[in-house]
This record gives sequence, C-alpha cells and structure tokens, in this order.
Amino acid sequence: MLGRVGSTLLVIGLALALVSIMPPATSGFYSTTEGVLAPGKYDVLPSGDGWFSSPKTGISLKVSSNSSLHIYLLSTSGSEVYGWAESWIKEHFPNLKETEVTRKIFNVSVLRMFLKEYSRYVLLNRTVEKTFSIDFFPSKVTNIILAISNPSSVSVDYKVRLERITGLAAKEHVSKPAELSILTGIILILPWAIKRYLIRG
Amino acid sequence: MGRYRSFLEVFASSLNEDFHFPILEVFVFLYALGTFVFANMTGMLGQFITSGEAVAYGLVSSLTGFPLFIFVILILKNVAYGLGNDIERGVIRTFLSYPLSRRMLLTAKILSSIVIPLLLLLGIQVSALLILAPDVVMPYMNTVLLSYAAILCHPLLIAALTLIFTLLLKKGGIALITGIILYFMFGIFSGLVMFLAGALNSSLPLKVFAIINPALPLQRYYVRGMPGGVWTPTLNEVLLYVSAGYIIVALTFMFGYLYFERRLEL
Repeated sequence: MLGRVGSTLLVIGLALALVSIMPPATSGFYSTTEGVLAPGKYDVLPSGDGWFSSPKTGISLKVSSNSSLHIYLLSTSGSEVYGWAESWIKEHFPNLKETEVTRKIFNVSVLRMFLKEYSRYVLLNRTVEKTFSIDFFPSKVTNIILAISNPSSVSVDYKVRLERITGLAAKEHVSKPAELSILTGIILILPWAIKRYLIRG
Repeated sequence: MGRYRSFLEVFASSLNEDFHFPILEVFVFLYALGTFVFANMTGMLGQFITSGEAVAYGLVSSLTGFPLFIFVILILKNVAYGLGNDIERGVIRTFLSYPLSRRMLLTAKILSSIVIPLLLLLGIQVSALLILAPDVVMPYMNTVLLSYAAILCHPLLIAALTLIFTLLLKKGGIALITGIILYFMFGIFSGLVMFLAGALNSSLPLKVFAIINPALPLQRYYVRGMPGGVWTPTLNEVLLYVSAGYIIVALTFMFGYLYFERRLEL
C-alpha cells in the first residue's frame, strides 16, 4: 500500500517536473523602450492600462542600464499611478502651480509614497545593476505595469524590452512541490522495492 | 473473520483489481499534467467573465474537457468492467461467503471504483490549481468547490446508471459501452437543448435539462451576456439545481443498492 502511495506521489512529481522544465513560448508581441532617467525621477511603462497577464500568460522582461536602477512590476495601470500621484501632491502641497505638480509627479519620493500606500500592488521589486532579465507570471489575472526609478544623483541610460509569453505555469511555483513529491515518493517506494528485490534474490 | 475486516479485504481486493499497476499511476500522471495543460483563464469564455469569482469558475470549467473525460472513462471502466467481470466470473459469490451484507459489499466496490477516483481527481486538480494560480483559487475556494460539485454531477449520474446496467446485464463489456454511449448522448443532448432554447426563445428546455446537469445554471450564473442567453439564474437557484441533481444521483444509486440487495440473482 505504501509502495503504491509512493509511486503515485512519484508520478505527480514527475508531471510537475515536466511542467517546470517546459520553456515558455513567445507570442510575438513585444515592445522596446530606450530612454534617460534623470536623477531622482521614475517612469512607468506603459502609461495606459498595462499588459494583461495571468498565471499562464506572463511577460519576459529584459532591462539594461549604465548604472543602478530600481524596477517594480505592479498590478495596476499607469493612469492609476499618475492619478494617485497628482491628487497626493495637490493634497500635500496645495500651493504648487499646475506645471510644478506635473513635474513633481515623476519624483521618486512620490512613487515611494504610492508603493507604501499600495504595497499589495507590488509583484516584483528588484535592483538592476547593468542587466536584468526575468520570465514573470503573476499568481492572478491582472494588468501589469513596469515602474523604473532612479534614486541616484546621476542620469541613467536604460533600455527595456518586454515580450508577452505563455507557459504551463511559473517555474518557481512548480519546482518545489515537484522536488518534494518526487523525494517523498522515492522514500515510500524504497521499502517495497527492497522487499521485492530480496524476494527475487 | 469480522465484518470490518471482511469489508477491508473486499475493498483492498477491489482496489487491486481496479488499479492494477500502472493504471493508477498513468491516470494520476494524466490528471496532474492535464490540469496544467488545459487550465485556462483567458480562453473562450474570457470576454464574458468579469468578476474574480467568475475567473475562478472559468478556471475550473476549463478542466471539464479532456481531464473530465479521463475521469469518466476511469469510473465507467471500474464500475462496468470491475463489477461486471466480478459478477460474470463468480467472484461476487465468493465475496458473499464472507460475513458481509450485500449492501456493504456493494459499498466496498463503489468506494474503490468511484469514490477513490473522485478523491484523486479533486485532490490532484485542486492542489494543482493552488500551485498554478493561488490568488485566483484561495479567495474563491467556495466557488471552486461549488463548480466541481455542479460539473461532477452528470458524470456521477452516468456512473450510477452504468452501475444499474451492469447489475441488470451482468456483463461488463456491454455495460461499459452503454455508459460511454450515455456520456456522449448527454453531450449531444446538451447542445440540442441550447439550440432549442435559442430557437424557441424560451428558458424552459434549459431549466428542465439543468435538473440533471447543474453545471448549466452555474455557467449561466457566472458567465453573463453569453450569446443566446435567455436565462440568468440567481445563486440560490443554482444551489437548488445542484441539490436536485445530487438527489437524483443519490436516488439512482439507491435503486442500484436495492436491486443488488433484493433482486440480483447470482
């Protein structure tokens, strides 16, 4: 009986392992953005609704820069970030002119306040040193935007390439349960296999 | 030999018969892999799905094609072939020599042939969905379980009918073929009812069919604005249809039990 439980767990683990080694397929849609980020500023890509993503439809992100940058994948839209930033600035700095408000919207400190208020939107938070790449699948159905911030005191040149990808599941979600299941399966099968070997011997 | 021990012995023997190595392993592998391959959150129904609950429903319903077909084949094979062959070869008569009532004997066979595959399907698919999309499944676990209850109702009804055919015919092969034909007829009939409701612009055919197929009102409840939509039930109506469906399943199994206990000549 334990042997059969073990063999069942082993095949579940093998199925999960097969899922985890399947590489994601690119759907052909991609966007490339190049720019210069001024000191203490941030930018959001895309500025509109974001990329529709799900646990099976993710994004392949490649970022390269000539200095250190912070990147965030957020489950919201660019318009929501800008809308919140504008109303937050107007609330906390009521004496600013409209042009000054617009300029302040892109300050890193405003992005930090947004991230503090909506920490649940943060799907990924990384510091990029020269190059960074990831295949990202969210754990829910959501729109994703990329926020790039430059907290340093020098301007940073950056290049971002985003590509829509489809896969069976996120590798990091599947590989741990696969390992656990295979290991438990082998442990449970061993006594049965040894017994069988001894009987035959 | 005590009744409890006899029951376990028959159950273990049925498990051995129904799940010869590597039948269990092959089906488990297919369930696990199939869940990841067929799970879909942005598919055909995507444009009509608007809420988080509906996404959770859509995810479960995307698994009702091939993985559900595998499940149906497994339980029909177990019920028709397992029980039918036992009757044909006289194994049931041997089991009846144990200190065990006919009711308990059939319970052991049903546990092995239907309940174990059902638990395997639910256990593997729900775990796989939790790994795949935790933020879709976890907040809407009630929706996921209700969806499974509604979707699994008609396969269980077909399993109960196949059990009765097996007992009446006392032949596994013919009962298995009858069960498979019933399953396909159900699918064809489902399409016909949709067509009829659209053609007559009446919800009556849908409401009548929903009694034996509660997955239909559940789909209408979560997926709003579908083409030909002449009926949008409330959640209470959906729950009523699911309950009615399972009462019919229970009555069909009860008929099988009564026949096995009182009428079946071995």
